[in-house]
Amino acid sequence: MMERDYLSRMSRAARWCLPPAEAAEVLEDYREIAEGRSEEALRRDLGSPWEAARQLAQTRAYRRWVAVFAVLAACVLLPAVLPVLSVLSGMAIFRFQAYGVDWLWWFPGLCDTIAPFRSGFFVTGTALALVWFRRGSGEGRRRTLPKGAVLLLVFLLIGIAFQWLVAWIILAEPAEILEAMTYQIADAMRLTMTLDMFVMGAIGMFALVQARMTDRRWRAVYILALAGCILGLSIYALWSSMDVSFGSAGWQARILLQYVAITALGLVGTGVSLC
Amino acid sequence: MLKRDLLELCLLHLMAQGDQYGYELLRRLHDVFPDVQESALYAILRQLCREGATERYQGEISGGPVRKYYRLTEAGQDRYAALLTVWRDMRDALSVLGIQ
Repeated sequence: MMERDYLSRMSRAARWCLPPAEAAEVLEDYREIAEGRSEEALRRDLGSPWEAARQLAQTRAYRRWVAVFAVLAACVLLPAVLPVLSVLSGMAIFRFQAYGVDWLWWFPGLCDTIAPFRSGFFVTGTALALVWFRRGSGEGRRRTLPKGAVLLLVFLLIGIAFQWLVAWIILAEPAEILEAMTYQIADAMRLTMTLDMFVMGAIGMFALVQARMTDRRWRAVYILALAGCILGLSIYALWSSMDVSFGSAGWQARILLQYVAITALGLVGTGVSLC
Repeated sequence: MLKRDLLELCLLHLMAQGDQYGYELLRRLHDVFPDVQESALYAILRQLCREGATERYQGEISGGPVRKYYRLTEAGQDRYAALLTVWRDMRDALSVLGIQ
């Protein structure tokens, strides 16, 4: 039992630090080495699983992986976290200004600062995920999709559908909805959309870790989550924009094209990732 | 010569005596250097494999389970000879200074 605990921790550490084929080989060796030893003896003779795995990793290869992970994480986290922080800090400034929260003033602006770079985040994240977790990177071919991945893909599609509903209200300006729309409803919708993006970002991070540690096809979940976050950020940027040129004729078509492109690329990337 | 080189030399030396069962190799060296963890020795062994100094193969003891054995390659023998020379030079240099 103890030996199995050590091995399961070693398994996680090895799959994080080493490429899949090498991790599988190391785990096979460790099963042999660990056989019949207690947890205490394993810790004494072999050290902590993470230390052991780090010793096995080639420094350059491991650093490259950490750098790729940092870029992929930034691509999905920045558009996921900043909008919700912007909305919450905006609310805090209005509701609690008497309690000295003025220092939060710069938070809402952060989101507008990163919004122009959203295409860069999307293209970098998608391309890097497709290339890094490509087939033949040492992992054997599996037929069934990873457990939970399908469920999360469905969840992400529902989240994207909600974002499209918000986009439709902004772009089509349906009279019957706008008449019923109060400030509170609009505010609640904006908060829901940012929370939706936050959850998508968390799912994207989870999928990123899973793609490294269990099955590279989790990158499909990462790419769809990224597409959801970027689409959400685009809608959020439009919603909070003070740019009057949006009022010019045909502005909806231009914006709609952007949203369709993000969604379509996200879906194509997801499909390719599942192969 | 670093401690890591010494450990590498020891591993190569043991393998120069004949093919070795990986687990046994680690245990023997750990018994001699108890302060060095087996995981560190295993990391050196893997690196030797990666560099082509050693190669592994699956062997079977009569009636027992399939086990992984390690043997020296030609490159490994060259590496062993080079490390041995460095070690002997160092030992001679130390003895000139009176360090036994």
